[in-house]
Amino acid sequence: MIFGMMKNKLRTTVIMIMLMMITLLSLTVYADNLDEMRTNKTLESLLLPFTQISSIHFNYTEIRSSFFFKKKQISQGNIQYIKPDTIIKRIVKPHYKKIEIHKNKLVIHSMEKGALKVDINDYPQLKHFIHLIKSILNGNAHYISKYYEVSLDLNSKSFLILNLIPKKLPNNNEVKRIKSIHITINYDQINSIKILGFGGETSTLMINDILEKTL
Amino acid sequence: MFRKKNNIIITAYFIVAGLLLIYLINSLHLRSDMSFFSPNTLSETDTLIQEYLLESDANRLLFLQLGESHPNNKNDIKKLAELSIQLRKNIQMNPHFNLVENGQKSVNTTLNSQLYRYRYLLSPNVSEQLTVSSLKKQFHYLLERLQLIASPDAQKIMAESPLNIWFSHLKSLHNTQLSLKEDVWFNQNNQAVLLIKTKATGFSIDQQKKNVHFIEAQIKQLPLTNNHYTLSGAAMITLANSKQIAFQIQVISTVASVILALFLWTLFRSIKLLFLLALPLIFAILVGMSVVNFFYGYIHGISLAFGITIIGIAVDYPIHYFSHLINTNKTEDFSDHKNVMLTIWPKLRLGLVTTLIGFSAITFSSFSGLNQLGIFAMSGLISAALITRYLLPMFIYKNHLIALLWFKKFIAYFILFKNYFIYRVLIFILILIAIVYISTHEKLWENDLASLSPVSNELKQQDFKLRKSLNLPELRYLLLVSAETEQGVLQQTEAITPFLEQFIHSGAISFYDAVTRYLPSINTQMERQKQLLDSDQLYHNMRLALLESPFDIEAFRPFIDAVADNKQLKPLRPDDLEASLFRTKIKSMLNQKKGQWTGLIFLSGVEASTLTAEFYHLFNNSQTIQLIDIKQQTHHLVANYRSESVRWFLWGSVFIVLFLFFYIKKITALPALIFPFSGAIIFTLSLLLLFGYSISIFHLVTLLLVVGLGIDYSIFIYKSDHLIEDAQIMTLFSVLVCMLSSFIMFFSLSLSSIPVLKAIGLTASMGASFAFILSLIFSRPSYSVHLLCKH
Repeated sequence: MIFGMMKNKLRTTVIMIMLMMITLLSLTVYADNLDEMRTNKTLESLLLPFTQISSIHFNYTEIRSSFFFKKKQISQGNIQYIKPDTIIKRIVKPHYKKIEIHKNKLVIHSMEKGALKVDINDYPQLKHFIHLIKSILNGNAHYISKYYEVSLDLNSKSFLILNLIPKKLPNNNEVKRIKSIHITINYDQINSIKILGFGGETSTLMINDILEKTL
Repeated sequence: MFRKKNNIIITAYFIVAGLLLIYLINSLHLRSDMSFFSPNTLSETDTLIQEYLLESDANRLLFLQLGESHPNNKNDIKKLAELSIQLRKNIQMNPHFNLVENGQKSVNTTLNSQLYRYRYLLSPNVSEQLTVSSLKKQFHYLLERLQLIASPDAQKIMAESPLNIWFSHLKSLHNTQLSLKEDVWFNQNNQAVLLIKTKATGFSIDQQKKNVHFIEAQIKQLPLTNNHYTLSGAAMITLANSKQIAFQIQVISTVASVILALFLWTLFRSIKLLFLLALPLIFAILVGMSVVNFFYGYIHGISLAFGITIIGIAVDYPIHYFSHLINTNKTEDFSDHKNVMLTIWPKLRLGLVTTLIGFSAITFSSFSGLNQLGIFAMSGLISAALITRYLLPMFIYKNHLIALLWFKKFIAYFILFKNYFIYRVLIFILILIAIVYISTHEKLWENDLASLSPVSNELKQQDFKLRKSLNLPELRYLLLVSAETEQGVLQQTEAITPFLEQFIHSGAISFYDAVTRYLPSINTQMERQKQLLDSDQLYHNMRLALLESPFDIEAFRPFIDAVADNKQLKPLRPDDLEASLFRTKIKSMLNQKKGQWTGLIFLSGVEASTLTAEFYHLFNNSQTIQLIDIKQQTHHLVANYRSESVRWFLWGSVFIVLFLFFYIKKITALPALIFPFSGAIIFTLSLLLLFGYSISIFHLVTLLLVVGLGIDYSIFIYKSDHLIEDAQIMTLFSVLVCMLSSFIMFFSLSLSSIPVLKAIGLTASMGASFAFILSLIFSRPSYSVHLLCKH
């Protein structure tokens, strides 16, 4: 009888341990999902102010560093974004150039060559970058979290920094090209976008002033 | 004791059959290529074309299109691109595939390859791009590209090859009409396209079946919407062909076998008999295959198929024997069986020997396919006759020939043949009319084997369109360039390259693939070396070009070093190439035989009439360059084969007539033996032409069967006139059963939608019917008159 009771006790103990393990595992998975859900939710709330904007026009300064250049390359101009699919970039310095992107069509206007029309699908890196910017400005947290590991920081001026690291996915070629992207956000305004590549490649876009914003 | 001895002999026969089967399982080598239609001594051009057809890349390619095909589809490009990339990865892991391309660039492979090192000798027009103005322009493009951050691999290439010469050159080698979206190929219907090259040739049906199953299994694992995809290519056409043929043969032979079995069972009322009837044919096939495989080391698939068709005569031997058993097997006395066999054996033997004489003629042909056919048929028929003679009498069988009673009742119908003379004259006139009709027919011969293919035109068109969009070589046209040396071929090819470009401009072709695209001649490489700038000169030009540019010239030191390296490299020959797919490709485009070198230039998107006109205008008197139309060459081969076949068939017929004349020793008796099979052939040919068919080699070979059947029927009917009445009826009955058996089998085949099967079925069923009717009409008058008087 004592032996039978012991057997029962053993069985009960094993079941209890298994239940605890299952509970712990579920909690971990839940915690992971929760973490992701929390990040998504945070990202969504971070990007929410941008969803109010229907168009924006701003001046910028772009600094490009590369192993190939003698020194940093600086260009200046203005960028106009009209939701959902139109981006117009006018480079004023060093040489005038206008780049218009509407849906999948890209048109480059320059003094030397006139207008050159291409399909943005033929330039996957550019296409990916434009999707990223449009996702931010449209509050599309899903696209961002699909392709990037997301984390948030605060800088010295208490501005939020959105840190993006490309995820190792089968069709995500950005992993080979980009180490990380750091976007400084001040409520409904992007202050700067810094892209770090490998081998000393960097590109920083700083927004100088807002020329026009439509809600 | 007698029964025990019989059982031992029967067992011995089956052991021999078993040994033959084991030999075939272990050693049988089946070939399914065009060499069946080739003479044993081929010209060098024909040998080259045959090797090209067998071994070329063109027949190893499969094309896969993912997504819906209609123009207004809602294909998700990004998703299809992901699937294309995943599929490429999965298929590449299978060692049965040499190459899987979907448009993705493989940077690492390019950087490591021997060819990358030689890029400035292999790419054209390099020196023109090293001038100051050209460098300035090229670096301006580079500056544009560097607006976006580059990956480490891309940075390496930019430093070593900033002018993008190598990738532009690679792009020109794989020039396609497809667009690149999300890094992979898409056609104009937004379907993702993959190009797959198998290790096995397109004719290796078994391996290609496995390859296709593997690909389809990989596709099923993907989340492809509604499983929309299309797989095409030469192997798919071959598989579709063989699948259709195999399916129809299976259905038809099953149905025909059941009908035939029911028919024979109705007559003989014995299941055991059905097995015994099949024995001689089974042995005939085993022996035929073994003999051919033993002497040749292989057997053509077509020889096997044709051979089995024409040894269908072997089924008649046991039918004659078992039909004649009716009056004699009331007991289980083996001697009765033996006596019946001894009675009919002289006729069987005469029929066999006459048929063998006819078939022997084709064994003298210079075509291995015909030789094999002759040997297969002869050895098969001899073994069938011997099995009938010595083995079948050892089986106890009680003949319940109930149907014979019914046959006796219907014998009155033969009153139609009462007045033989009128019918003979009528038949003779009809034969003459038929001969005139045949000889004056507009389209007598069918040389185009493709028209006999059951595969839909849609599949063939799809294959053609895809090849054109990928600028892949067509299976029909190519150019041959000849010279005494390998370098001579490369130089000749370079010399005609401007004309090939002209062909593209005029629309005669859309693309050409020549060995010099990949590996120029040594002379050209040395010329390019001379034109390359040395390090100091290049540095000077770059310094001037980059004066107002943000570029640091030192970042491009690897480029300067690479150009200097190319200036002193030993030019590359085909034999210097490292083992790779590239080397295999180059080697497949160059051929050496008997001291003569030949280069193959593959053509794509050919407009036949324009190409032919322009080619002959430019190269009409050239000894070193030929335009080959493989379809024409094949027609030529088939026409030669057919002419040779007809010649040997006619000789065979002459041998038969001579033999019968010397055997019978009576010239007045010859018509009864010759007219049945010759009349059957003439009437069958004329009816086929009347129905709108042209005569192909399949019809011709089946006529050999008709010859055998005609000889068999005429000998049995002719030689029964001296027999007593019941035996006469029995003989007539056995011949009728033979004819009906053949008719059932082949008429079923004629109902097939596959042109080849229809040809064989129609020819044999009509031929057997005519042979029987003509045998009755041309047999001696006393025979039927006597019977008719009785009934």
